[in-house]
Amino acid sequence: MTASAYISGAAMTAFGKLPGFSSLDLQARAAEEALQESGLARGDIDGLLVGYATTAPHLMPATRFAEAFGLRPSCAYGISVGGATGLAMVALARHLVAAGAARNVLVVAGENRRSGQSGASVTRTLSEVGDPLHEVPNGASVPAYYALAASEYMHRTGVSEEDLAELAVLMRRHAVATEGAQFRDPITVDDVMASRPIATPLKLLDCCSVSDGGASVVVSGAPSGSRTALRIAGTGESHRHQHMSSAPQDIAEGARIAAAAALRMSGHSIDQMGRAAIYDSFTITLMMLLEACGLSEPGGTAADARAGRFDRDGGTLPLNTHGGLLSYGHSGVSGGLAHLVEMVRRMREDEASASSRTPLSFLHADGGVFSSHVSLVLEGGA
Amino acid sequence: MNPIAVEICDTCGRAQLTGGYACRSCGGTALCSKPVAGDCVVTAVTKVDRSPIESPVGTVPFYLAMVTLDATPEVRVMAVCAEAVEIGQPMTVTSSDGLAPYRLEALSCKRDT
Ligand SMILES: [Zn+2]
Repeated sequence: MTASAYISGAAMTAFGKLPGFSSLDLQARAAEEALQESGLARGDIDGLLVGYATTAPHLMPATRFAEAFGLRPSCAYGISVGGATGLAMVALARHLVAAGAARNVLVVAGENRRSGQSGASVTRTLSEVGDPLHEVPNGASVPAYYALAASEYMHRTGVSEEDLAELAVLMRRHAVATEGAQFRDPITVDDVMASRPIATPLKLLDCCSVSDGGASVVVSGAPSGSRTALRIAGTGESHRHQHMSSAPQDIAEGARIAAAAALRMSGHSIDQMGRAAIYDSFTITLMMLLEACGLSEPGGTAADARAGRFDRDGGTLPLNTHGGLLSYGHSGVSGGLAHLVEMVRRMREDEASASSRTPLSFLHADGGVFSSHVSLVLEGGA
Repeated sequence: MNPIAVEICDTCGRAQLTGGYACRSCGGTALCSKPVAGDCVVTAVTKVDRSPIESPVGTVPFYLAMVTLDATPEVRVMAVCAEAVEIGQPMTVTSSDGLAPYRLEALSCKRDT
């Protein structure tokens, strides 16, 4: 029998402009809250995973955090898989627990990316996403790379810029209802269409922002405390390429592979999922990943959004109910981990209110330019 | 016209851009470098209006495209152009030393020069 792993605590800070907090401060704030929620003591934490922070690069981010936070774990690792890092740490925490290497793993992310980022670190980070030999000297950077993926996808499917805008509007609608979200003023498709051009077809409101913030979860070998046990029922990964020039013809291929692996492990099908959280660095990222993971038909995402399928209230598959990276905010690794924290909150709420929603959720994130992929399936009511 | 440098895998014959230690398709490590003509077709294009990095064709706006090489269609090259281009358009991509920056030129320009 495969050992099980559960989410025993989950917390995140508000996202946005939080001057006066260092990256370590934000990590500690989120971790303290996640730990309290788990009901565990510092001495119970024997595994630690800490995501990279571009504003506070460190040789040993996990060891550094352990010292500051008063932990002496038996295993501790700093992790870097770009935007997939948050979910990758949760998958790895599950593997550590399943292997018997740790009983309670604290997963931590946080950085003051908005307040603490220097021009030099922006350029360095961007240059690591583009191929130094074949891409970076052309000029342009990450938004333009996703714009290229969008152009090819739209040419193939006939999806329009208004269709993409629909997802920005949906994320904003969810953020309006979420305390701690960076952007809480409602927007319309017209607002998105009229926003400043970045790289066609992407405009400012198709792109996530840059935020300060932190997020943290505790992964345990046994359900802890009185809260609903949320089991990590499936994990799947795929790492197909780093740079766009080396991507497969089907650039979202990695998402298909990771999703299939996570579903296979969970023993559930994608149609059974009651909720979804999908990485949304850009509207096009969200659309292509939703379709690659099988949550929407190819080219059908915008119609699903217009029909209310992804709505926080009343939707059959509520999606990124905190507002996602596009509107809750994007603070490096904690941006991706926030999707999971939000999912945990909503699944617990479902359980507490005896909701008829199926207690199964699907999460997916990519890092780079559709380069690294991680999928998770969470199962409630265990 | 300066060619584009690619590496051809001895084992499976597939081409890829230079800089790898093994074939990304089959894992073969015998790769031989070969210059190929820059004739290509545009498969994706974006007009870049904001960029923290300057392009070799000037400041924004400029066009960034992905193209597939006619000689080795499995190789995709990211290239820049000062003028608008369209998906499906045949172009020529050039490079001064086989590496980026890669510049896109209209086929007619190539004949003129
Ligand atoms: Zn080969």
